[in-house]
Amino acid sequence: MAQAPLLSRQKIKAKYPDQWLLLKDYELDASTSLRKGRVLAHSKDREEIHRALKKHTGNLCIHFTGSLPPDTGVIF
Amino acid sequence: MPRVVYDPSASSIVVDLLLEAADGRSSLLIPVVLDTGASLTIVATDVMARLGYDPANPGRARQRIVMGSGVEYAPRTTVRSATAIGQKVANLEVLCHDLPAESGVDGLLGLNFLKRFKLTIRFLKGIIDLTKER
Repeated sequence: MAQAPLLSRQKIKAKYPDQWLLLKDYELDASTSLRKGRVLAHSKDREEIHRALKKHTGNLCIHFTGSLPPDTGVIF
Repeated sequence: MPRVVYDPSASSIVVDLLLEAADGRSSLLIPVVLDTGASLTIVATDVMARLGYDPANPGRARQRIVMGSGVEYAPRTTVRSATAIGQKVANLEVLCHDLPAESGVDGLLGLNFLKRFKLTIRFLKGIIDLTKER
């Protein structure tokens, strides 16, 4: 099977909006922020991505391309 | 200088946190909220299990945590290293606890990481600088 292409963070967000993703072969910038990666799995459901974590080895990255609705506040 | 640029209109400040596995042979990058109101760093249970820290081990120490929703107890462990905003901390204590998926993150970057550095947040511009204090 062909390997997924290496995509920039911006392209990942455009191609998989409002989704959780599992990436491999990721590249970081000097501030430890994701720059690029290959998509292994994507879903609207975080649990699916957490399950996919168990199927892959090596260096991986979980990334979320969505944002909170504007009428939602966050308090932890 | 390590600097993160974020959307200043966002509800919270999300940064990437790189965690080293227990065996030192792999790592996992996750999104976390930068939270100066959290005394400890929190990471999702599934993430910690994948990294080999075994949060389900009943022998693991549990930490009492006071959250917005009440008081809970969570397994506590030490990760080999954690890196965020260009700064690395070895042997960082982490609580294993799941935040709601709606938060869009897999954890919190708390004061036990941040207080080792000089943190500058320019809220109007959406710029975070994290540097070693001189």
